[in-house]
Amino acid sequence: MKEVKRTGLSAVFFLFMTGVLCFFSGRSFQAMHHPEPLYPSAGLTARHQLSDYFPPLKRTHGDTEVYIFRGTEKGGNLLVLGGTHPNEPAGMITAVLLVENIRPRQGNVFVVPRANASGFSHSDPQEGNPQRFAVPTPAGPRLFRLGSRLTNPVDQWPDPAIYINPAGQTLSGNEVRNLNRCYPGRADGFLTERIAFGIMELIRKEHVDIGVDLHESAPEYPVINAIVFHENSSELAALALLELQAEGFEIRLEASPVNLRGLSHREWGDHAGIKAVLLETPNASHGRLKGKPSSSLIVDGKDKFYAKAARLGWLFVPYGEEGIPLAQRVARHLAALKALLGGLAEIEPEKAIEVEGLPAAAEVQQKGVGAFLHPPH
Amino acid sequence: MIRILYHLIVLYLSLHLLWHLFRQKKAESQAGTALVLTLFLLRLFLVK
Repeated sequence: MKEVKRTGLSAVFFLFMTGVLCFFSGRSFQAMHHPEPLYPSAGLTARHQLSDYFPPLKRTHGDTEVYIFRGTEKGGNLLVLGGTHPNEPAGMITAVLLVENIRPRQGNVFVVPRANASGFSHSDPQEGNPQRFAVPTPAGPRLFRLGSRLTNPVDQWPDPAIYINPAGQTLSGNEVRNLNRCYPGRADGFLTERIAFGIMELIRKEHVDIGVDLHESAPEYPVINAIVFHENSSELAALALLELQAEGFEIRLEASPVNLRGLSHREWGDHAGIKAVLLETPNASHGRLKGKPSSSLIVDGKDKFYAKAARLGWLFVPYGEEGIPLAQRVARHLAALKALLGGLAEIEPEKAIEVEGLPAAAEVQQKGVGAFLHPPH
Repeated sequence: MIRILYHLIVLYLSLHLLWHLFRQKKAESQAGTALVLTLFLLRLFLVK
Protein backbone atom coordinates (compact mmCIF):
# COMPACT_ATOMS: atom_id res chain seq x y z
CA MET A 1 0.00 0.00 0.00
CA LYS A 2 1.19 3.44 -0.80
CA GLU A 3 2.52 5.19 2.23
CA VAL A 4 0.15 7.86 3.37
CA LYS A 5 1.60 10.92 4.92
CA ARG A 6 0.93 11.20 8.59
CA THR A 7 -2.19 13.28 8.95
CA GLY A 8 -4.45 14.02 11.83
CA LEU A 9 -7.35 13.72 9.42
CA SER A 10 -6.84 9.98 8.75
CA ALA A 11 -6.32 9.39 12.48
CA VAL A 12 -9.62 11.10 13.20
CA PHE A 13 -11.25 8.97 10.52
CA PHE A 14 -9.93 5.74 12.10
CA LEU A 15 -10.93 6.98 15.54
CA PHE A 16 -14.45 7.49 14.20
CA MET A 17 -14.38 3.95 12.77
CA THR A 18 -13.29 2.71 16.22
CA GLY A 19 -16.39 4.37 17.65
CA VAL A 20 -18.59 2.74 15.00
CA LEU A 21 -17.06 -0.69 15.71
CA CYS A 22 -17.46 -0.20 19.47
CA PHE A 23 -21.11 0.78 19.00
CA PHE A 24 -22.13 -2.19 16.88
CA SER A 25 -20.05 -4.83 18.66
CA GLY A 26 -21.03 -3.39 22.06
CA ARG A 27 -24.70 -3.53 21.10
CA SER A 28 -24.27 -7.15 20.03
CA PHE A 29 -22.53 -8.06 23.33
CA GLN A 30 -25.15 -6.20 25.39
CA ALA A 31 -27.98 -8.05 23.61
CA MET A 32 -26.65 -11.25 25.19
CA HIS A 33 -27.72 -9.86 28.58
CA HIS A 34 -31.41 -9.92 27.61
CA PRO A 35 -33.08 -13.28 28.30
CA GLU A 36 -35.18 -14.68 25.49
CA PRO A 37 -38.92 -14.68 26.29
CA LEU A 38 -40.52 -17.93 27.47
CA TYR A 39 -44.24 -18.66 27.20
CA PRO A 40 -45.36 -20.78 30.18
CA SER A 41 -48.22 -23.25 29.82
CA ALA A 42 -51.63 -22.77 31.42
CA GLY A 43 -50.40 -25.04 34.22
CA LEU A 44 -48.12 -22.31 35.63
CA THR A 45 -49.22 -21.27 39.10
CA ALA A 46 -46.45 -18.81 40.01
CA ARG A 47 -43.25 -17.32 38.67
CA HIS A 48 -40.68 -16.45 41.29
CA GLN A 49 -37.11 -15.28 41.16
CA LEU A 50 -34.26 -17.15 42.82
CA SER A 51 -33.79 -13.99 44.90
CA ASP A 52 -37.20 -14.66 46.49
CA TYR A 53 -35.50 -17.64 48.16
CA PHE A 54 -32.17 -15.89 48.73
CA PRO A 55 -32.61 -12.07 48.73
CA PRO A 56 -28.89 -11.11 48.33
CA LEU A 57 -29.20 -12.29 44.69
CA LYS A 58 -31.68 -9.50 43.94
CA ARG A 59 -30.47 -7.03 41.29
CA THR A 60 -27.48 -9.22 40.43
CA HIS A 61 -26.91 -11.05 37.15
CA GLY A 62 -27.16 -14.29 39.15
CA ASP A 63 -30.88 -13.85 39.74
CA THR A 64 -33.03 -16.09 37.56
CA GLU A 65 -36.63 -17.19 37.06
CA VAL A 66 -38.19 -20.10 38.91
CA TYR A 67 -41.34 -21.41 37.22
CA ILE A 68 -43.71 -23.13 39.63
CA PHE A 69 -46.38 -25.62 38.60
CA ARG A 70 -48.53 -26.85 41.48
CA GLY A 71 -50.74 -29.88 40.99
CA THR A 72 -54.26 -30.16 42.34
CA GLU A 73 -53.45 -33.35 44.26
CA LYS A 74 -50.87 -33.76 46.99
CA GLY A 75 -47.65 -35.44 45.96
CA GLY A 76 -43.90 -34.94 45.81
CA ASN A 77 -41.86 -31.91 44.73
CA LEU A 78 -39.64 -32.05 41.68
CA LEU A 79 -36.91 -29.53 40.82
CA VAL A 80 -35.58 -29.45 37.25
CA LEU A 81 -32.53 -27.36 36.44
CA GLY A 82 -31.59 -26.40 32.88
CA GLY A 83 -28.77 -24.05 31.92
CA THR A 84 -26.41 -24.92 34.75
CA HIS A 85 -23.92 -24.89 31.87
CA PRO A 86 -25.33 -22.52 29.24
CA ASN A 87 -23.17 -24.08 26.50
CA GLU A 88 -25.15 -27.33 26.84
CA PRO A 89 -28.32 -26.41 24.96
CA ALA A 90 -30.36 -29.62 25.37
CA GLY A 91 -30.55 -29.05 29.14
CA MET A 92 -31.96 -25.55 28.79
CA ILE A 93 -34.29 -26.47 25.88
CA THR A 94 -35.71 -29.45 27.81
CA ALA A 95 -36.47 -27.12 30.73
CA VAL A 96 -38.11 -24.66 28.31
CA LEU A 97 -40.26 -27.48 26.89
CA LEU A 98 -41.39 -28.28 30.42
CA VAL A 99 -42.22 -24.64 31.14
CA GLU A 100 -44.23 -24.31 27.93
CA ASN A 101 -46.10 -27.64 28.08
CA ILE A 102 -46.62 -29.24 31.47
CA ARG A 103 -49.68 -29.25 33.72
CA PRO A 104 -49.02 -31.25 36.91
CA ARG A 105 -51.97 -33.16 38.28
CA GLN A 106 -50.28 -34.54 41.39
CA GLY A 107 -47.34 -32.95 43.17
CA ASN A 108 -45.42 -29.79 42.32
CA VAL A 109 -42.79 -29.04 39.70
CA PHE A 110 -40.20 -26.26 39.97
CA VAL A 111 -38.31 -25.45 36.77
CA VAL A 112 -35.26 -23.20 36.52
CA PRO A 113 -34.43 -23.05 32.80
CA ARG A 114 -31.44 -20.68 33.13
CA ALA A 115 -29.78 -21.77 36.36
CA ASN A 116 -26.63 -19.74 35.68
CA ALA A 117 -28.21 -16.63 34.14
CA SER A 118 -24.87 -14.83 34.07
CA GLY A 119 -23.33 -17.64 31.98
CA PHE A 120 -25.92 -16.97 29.26
CA SER A 121 -24.69 -13.39 28.85
CA HIS A 122 -21.37 -14.26 27.19
CA SER A 123 -19.67 -16.93 25.08
CA ASP A 124 -16.64 -19.09 25.73
CA PRO A 125 -13.61 -17.13 24.48
CA GLN A 126 -11.68 -18.46 21.46
CA GLU A 127 -14.31 -21.08 20.62
CA GLY A 128 -15.90 -19.26 17.68
CA ASN A 129 -19.33 -20.28 18.94
CA PRO A 130 -22.42 -18.53 17.57
CA GLN A 131 -24.13 -16.22 20.05
CA ARG A 132 -27.47 -17.87 19.32
CA PHE A 133 -28.97 -20.95 17.76
CA ALA A 134 -32.27 -21.18 15.94
CA VAL A 135 -34.82 -23.88 16.71
CA PRO A 136 -37.28 -24.22 13.82
CA THR A 137 -40.95 -24.10 14.83
CA PRO A 138 -43.98 -24.30 12.51
CA ALA A 139 -44.33 -20.49 12.81
CA GLY A 140 -40.65 -19.70 12.18
CA PRO A 141 -37.33 -20.06 14.00
CA ARG A 142 -37.02 -19.33 17.69
CA LEU A 143 -33.65 -18.00 18.83
CA PHE A 144 -31.92 -19.04 22.03
CA ARG A 145 -28.60 -17.83 23.39
CA LEU A 146 -25.65 -20.18 23.52
CA GLY A 147 -23.76 -19.09 26.59
CA SER A 148 -20.63 -20.18 28.39
CA ARG A 149 -19.97 -22.97 30.85
CA LEU A 150 -18.84 -20.33 33.34
CA THR A 151 -20.25 -17.18 34.93
CA ASN A 152 -19.47 -13.98 33.02
CA PRO A 153 -16.18 -12.52 34.35
CA VAL A 154 -17.84 -9.10 34.21
CA ASP A 155 -20.00 -10.36 37.08
CA GLN A 156 -17.29 -12.27 38.95
CA TRP A 157 -13.64 -11.36 38.62
CA PRO A 158 -10.79 -12.12 39.17
CA ASP A 159 -10.53 -15.90 39.49
CA PRO A 160 -8.25 -17.20 42.25
CA ALA A 161 -5.19 -19.24 41.21
CA ILE A 162 -6.59 -22.23 43.07
CA TYR A 163 -10.21 -22.58 44.09
CA ILE A 164 -11.28 -24.43 47.21
CA ASN A 165 -15.02 -24.89 46.83
CA PRO A 166 -17.60 -24.79 49.66
CA ALA A 167 -17.43 -28.59 49.93
CA GLY A 168 -13.65 -28.44 50.45
CA GLN A 169 -12.49 -29.71 47.04
CA THR A 170 -9.41 -28.08 45.52
CA LEU A 171 -9.95 -27.12 41.88
CA SER A 172 -8.34 -24.98 39.21
CA GLY A 173 -9.07 -21.27 39.58
CA ASN A 174 -11.66 -20.77 36.85
CA GLU A 175 -13.93 -23.44 38.36
CA VAL A 176 -14.92 -20.73 40.82
CA ARG A 177 -17.32 -19.62 38.05
CA ASN A 178 -18.68 -23.12 37.35
CA LEU A 179 -22.06 -23.47 39.07
CA ASN A 180 -21.76 -27.24 39.13
CA ARG A 181 -18.63 -27.07 41.27
CA CYS A 182 -19.92 -24.52 43.76
CA TYR A 183 -22.55 -26.50 45.71
CA PRO A 184 -23.70 -26.27 48.45
CA GLY A 185 -22.80 -22.64 47.93
CA ARG A 186 -21.81 -19.87 50.30
CA ALA A 187 -24.22 -17.15 51.43
CA ASP A 188 -21.42 -14.57 51.44
CA GLY A 189 -19.20 -16.06 48.73
CA PHE A 190 -18.54 -15.36 45.06
CA LEU A 191 -21.59 -14.74 42.85
CA THR A 192 -21.60 -18.34 41.53
CA GLU A 193 -21.42 -19.67 45.08
CA ARG A 194 -24.34 -17.40 46.00
CA ILE A 195 -26.36 -18.77 43.05
CA ALA A 196 -25.60 -22.31 44.28
CA PHE A 197 -26.66 -21.26 47.78
CA GLY A 198 -29.87 -19.77 46.35
CA ILE A 199 -30.68 -23.09 44.66
CA MET A 200 -30.04 -24.91 47.96
CA GLU A 201 -32.42 -22.45 49.66
CA LEU A 202 -35.06 -23.18 47.00
CA ILE A 203 -34.61 -26.91 47.65
CA ARG A 204 -34.93 -26.44 51.41
CA LYS A 205 -37.81 -23.95 51.44
CA GLU A 206 -39.94 -25.79 48.86
CA HIS A 207 -39.18 -29.21 50.43
CA VAL A 208 -37.97 -30.63 47.14
CA ASP A 209 -37.94 -34.45 47.06
CA ILE A 210 -36.10 -35.04 43.81
CA GLY A 211 -33.76 -32.76 41.87
CA VAL A 212 -32.74 -33.31 38.26
CA ASP A 213 -29.87 -31.32 36.75
CA LEU A 214 -29.86 -31.42 32.92
CA HIS A 215 -26.52 -31.42 31.14
CA GLU A 216 -24.71 -32.39 27.93
CA SER A 217 -21.21 -33.62 27.35
CA ALA A 218 -18.79 -34.12 24.48
CA PRO A 219 -19.05 -37.47 22.64
CA GLU A 220 -15.44 -38.27 23.59
CA TYR A 221 -16.18 -37.81 27.29
CA PRO A 222 -16.82 -41.08 29.17
CA VAL A 223 -19.73 -39.85 31.34
CA ILE A 224 -22.28 -39.61 28.55
CA ASN A 225 -25.77 -40.93 27.83
CA ALA A 226 -25.77 -41.38 31.53
CA ILE A 227 -27.76 -40.99 34.71
CA VAL A 228 -25.40 -39.81 37.45
CA PHE A 229 -27.02 -40.49 40.79
CA HIS A 230 -26.43 -39.87 44.47
CA GLU A 231 -26.33 -43.12 46.48
CA ASN A 232 -29.70 -42.24 48.05
CA SER A 233 -31.20 -42.43 44.54
CA SER A 234 -29.64 -45.70 43.40
CA GLU A 235 -32.94 -47.65 43.41
CA LEU A 236 -34.69 -44.83 41.57
CA ALA A 237 -31.91 -44.62 38.96
CA ALA A 238 -31.96 -48.40 38.45
CA LEU A 239 -35.73 -48.38 37.87
CA ALA A 240 -35.39 -45.48 35.42
CA LEU A 241 -32.60 -47.35 33.59
CA LEU A 242 -34.80 -50.41 33.14
CA GLU A 243 -37.66 -48.35 31.76
CA LEU A 244 -35.39 -46.39 29.42
CA GLN A 245 -33.79 -49.55 28.08
CA ALA A 246 -37.24 -51.04 27.53
CA GLU A 247 -38.05 -47.95 25.46
CA GLY A 248 -34.90 -48.45 23.39
CA PHE A 249 -32.65 -45.80 24.94
CA GLU A 250 -29.10 -46.94 25.57
CA ILE A 251 -28.14 -45.35 28.85
CA ARG A 252 -25.70 -46.11 31.63
CA LEU A 253 -25.66 -45.52 35.36
CA GLU A 254 -22.84 -43.61 37.00
CA ALA A 255 -22.67 -43.43 40.78
CA SER A 256 -21.78 -39.97 42.06
CA PRO A 257 -18.19 -40.27 43.38
CA VAL A 258 -18.07 -39.47 47.09
CA ASN A 259 -14.74 -37.68 46.73
CA LEU A 260 -15.80 -35.45 43.82
CA ARG A 261 -17.32 -32.52 45.66
CA GLY A 262 -19.28 -29.45 44.76
CA LEU A 263 -21.50 -31.07 42.12
CA SER A 264 -25.30 -31.09 42.22
CA HIS A 265 -25.61 -34.90 42.27
CA ARG A 266 -23.35 -35.02 45.33
CA GLU A 267 -24.17 -31.95 47.42
CA TRP A 268 -27.96 -31.86 46.87
CA GLY A 269 -28.07 -35.36 48.31
CA ASP A 270 -25.54 -34.77 51.10
CA HIS A 271 -26.73 -31.32 52.26
CA ALA A 272 -30.46 -31.36 51.50
CA GLY A 273 -31.10 -35.09 51.64
CA ILE A 274 -33.04 -35.11 48.36
CA LYS A 275 -32.83 -37.65 45.58
CA ALA A 276 -30.24 -36.05 43.30
CA VAL A 277 -29.78 -37.00 39.67
CA LEU A 278 -27.79 -35.49 36.80
CA LEU A 279 -28.49 -36.41 33.18
CA GLU A 280 -25.97 -36.26 30.32
CA THR A 281 -26.59 -36.40 26.57
CA PRO A 282 -24.00 -36.27 23.75
CA ASN A 283 -23.47 -32.88 22.13
CA ALA A 284 -20.99 -32.53 19.25
CA SER A 285 -20.92 -28.73 19.46
CA HIS A 286 -19.53 -29.11 22.95
CA GLY A 287 -16.59 -31.34 22.03
CA ARG A 288 -12.98 -30.82 20.99
CA LEU A 289 -13.13 -32.77 17.73
CA LYS A 290 -15.87 -30.74 16.07
CA GLY A 291 -15.61 -28.82 12.82
CA LYS A 292 -16.94 -25.31 12.39
CA PRO A 293 -19.24 -24.35 15.29
CA SER A 294 -22.64 -23.19 14.07
CA SER A 295 -26.31 -23.05 14.91
CA SER A 296 -26.96 -26.06 12.65
CA LEU A 297 -24.26 -28.10 14.43
CA ILE A 298 -26.16 -27.51 17.68
CA VAL A 299 -29.63 -28.21 16.25
CA ASP A 300 -28.91 -30.87 13.59
CA GLY A 301 -25.91 -32.31 15.42
CA LYS A 302 -24.16 -33.45 12.23
CA ASP A 303 -20.38 -33.34 12.17
CA LYS A 304 -18.20 -35.31 9.76
CA PHE A 305 -15.21 -35.22 12.11
CA TYR A 306 -17.19 -36.83 14.91
CA ALA A 307 -18.57 -39.39 12.45
CA LYS A 308 -14.97 -40.25 11.54
CA ALA A 309 -13.91 -40.33 15.20
CA ALA A 310 -16.74 -42.82 15.84
CA ARG A 311 -15.51 -45.05 13.00
CA LEU A 312 -12.05 -44.97 14.59
CA GLY A 313 -13.54 -46.02 17.93
CA TRP A 314 -12.60 -42.83 19.74
CA LEU A 315 -16.05 -42.02 21.11
CA PHE A 316 -18.18 -43.29 23.95
CA VAL A 317 -21.43 -43.08 21.96
CA PRO A 318 -22.44 -44.25 18.49
CA TYR A 319 -22.20 -41.29 16.11
CA GLY A 320 -23.13 -41.75 12.46
CA GLU A 321 -23.28 -39.40 9.48
CA GLU A 322 -26.84 -38.48 10.56
CA GLY A 323 -25.42 -36.97 13.77
CA ILE A 324 -27.21 -36.61 17.08
CA PRO A 325 -29.77 -33.81 16.68
CA LEU A 326 -31.09 -31.59 19.44
CA ALA A 327 -34.49 -33.31 19.15
CA GLN A 328 -32.90 -36.66 20.01
CA ARG A 329 -30.96 -35.21 22.94
CA VAL A 330 -34.01 -33.43 24.35
CA ALA A 331 -36.13 -36.57 23.82
CA ARG A 332 -33.57 -38.50 25.84
CA HIS A 333 -33.82 -36.01 28.73
CA LEU A 334 -37.63 -36.11 28.58
CA ALA A 335 -37.71 -39.90 28.53
CA ALA A 336 -35.34 -40.01 31.52
CA LEU A 337 -37.48 -37.51 33.43
CA LYS A 338 -40.60 -39.58 32.75
CA ALA A 339 -38.80 -42.75 33.81
CA LEU A 340 -37.57 -41.10 37.03
CA LEU A 341 -41.10 -39.94 37.89
CA GLY A 342 -42.38 -43.46 37.19
CA GLY A 343 -39.70 -44.90 39.47
CA LEU A 344 -40.48 -42.39 42.23
CA ALA A 345 -44.18 -43.31 42.14
CA GLU A 346 -43.19 -46.95 42.55
CA ILE A 347 -40.70 -46.44 45.39
CA GLU A 348 -42.55 -43.72 47.33
CA PRO A 349 -46.21 -43.58 46.19
CA GLU A 350 -47.01 -40.76 48.65
CA LYS A 351 -44.46 -38.59 46.82
CA ALA A 352 -45.67 -39.43 43.33
CA ILE A 353 -45.61 -36.63 40.77
CA GLU A 354 -48.00 -36.94 37.86
CA VAL A 355 -47.54 -34.51 35.01
CA GLU A 356 -49.81 -34.00 32.03
CA GLY A 357 -48.60 -32.40 28.83
CA LEU A 358 -45.04 -33.73 29.13
CA PRO A 359 -43.98 -34.10 25.48
CA ALA A 360 -43.46 -37.76 24.59
CA ALA A 361 -39.87 -38.62 23.64
CA ALA A 362 -40.91 -40.46 20.47
CA GLU A 363 -42.98 -37.49 19.30
CA VAL A 364 -40.17 -35.02 19.98
CA GLN A 365 -37.80 -37.20 17.93
CA GLN A 366 -40.33 -37.49 15.13
CA LYS A 367 -41.71 -33.92 14.97
CA GLY A 368 -38.72 -32.00 16.33
CA VAL A 369 -38.38 -29.77 19.38
CA GLY A 370 -40.01 -26.81 17.64
CA ALA A 371 -43.37 -28.60 17.42
CA PHE A 372 -43.61 -28.30 21.23
CA LEU A 373 -42.40 -24.73 21.55
CA HIS A 374 -44.59 -21.66 21.60
CA PRO A 375 -44.37 -19.81 18.26
CA PRO A 376 -41.92 -16.89 18.25
CA HIS A 377 -43.25 -13.33 18.48
CA MET B 1 -9.63 -2.37 44.58
CA ILE B 2 -8.36 -4.84 41.99
CA ARG B 3 -11.13 -3.75 39.59
CA ILE B 4 -10.00 -0.11 39.87
CA LEU B 5 -6.43 -1.20 39.18
CA TYR B 6 -7.68 -3.16 36.14
CA HIS B 7 -9.52 -0.10 34.84
CA LEU B 8 -6.47 2.11 35.34
CA ILE B 9 -4.25 -0.32 33.41
CA VAL B 10 -6.72 -0.61 30.52
CA LEU B 11 -7.25 3.18 30.51
CA TYR B 12 -3.49 3.75 30.35
CA LEU B 13 -3.10 1.30 27.46
CA SER B 14 -6.11 2.80 25.64
CA LEU B 15 -4.65 6.31 25.93
CA HIS B 16 -1.31 4.97 24.76
CA LEU B 17 -2.99 3.43 21.70
CA LEU B 18 -4.80 6.69 21.02
CA TRP B 19 -1.53 8.59 21.15
CA HIS B 20 0.00 5.95 18.88
CA LEU B 21 -2.90 6.28 16.40
CA PHE B 22 -2.16 9.97 15.89
CA ARG B 23 1.58 9.35 15.50
CA GLN B 24 1.34 6.57 12.89
CA LYS B 25 2.47 7.50 9.38
CA LYS B 26 0.95 4.58 7.46
CA ALA B 27 -2.80 4.25 7.01
CA GLU B 28 -2.65 0.46 7.51
CA SER B 29 -0.85 0.95 10.83
CA GLN B 30 -3.50 3.43 11.88
CA ALA B 31 -6.19 0.91 10.92
CA GLY B 32 -4.45 -1.81 12.97
CA THR B 33 -4.12 0.51 15.95
CA ALA B 34 -7.81 1.44 15.65
CA LEU B 35 -8.79 -2.24 15.70
CA VAL B 36 -6.76 -2.92 18.84
CA LEU B 37 -8.14 0.25 20.41
CA THR B 38 -11.68 -1.09 19.81
CA LEU B 39 -10.92 -4.18 21.91
CA PHE B 40 -9.39 -2.08 24.68
CA LEU B 41 -12.34 0.32 24.78
CA LEU B 42 -14.78 -2.61 25.05
CA ARG B 43 -12.68 -3.94 27.93
CA LEU B 44 -12.51 -0.49 29.53
CA PHE B 45 -16.30 -0.24 29.64
CA LEU B 46 -16.64 -3.95 30.63
CA VAL B 47 -18.70 -4.76 27.55
CA LYS B 48 -18.67 -8.54 27.31
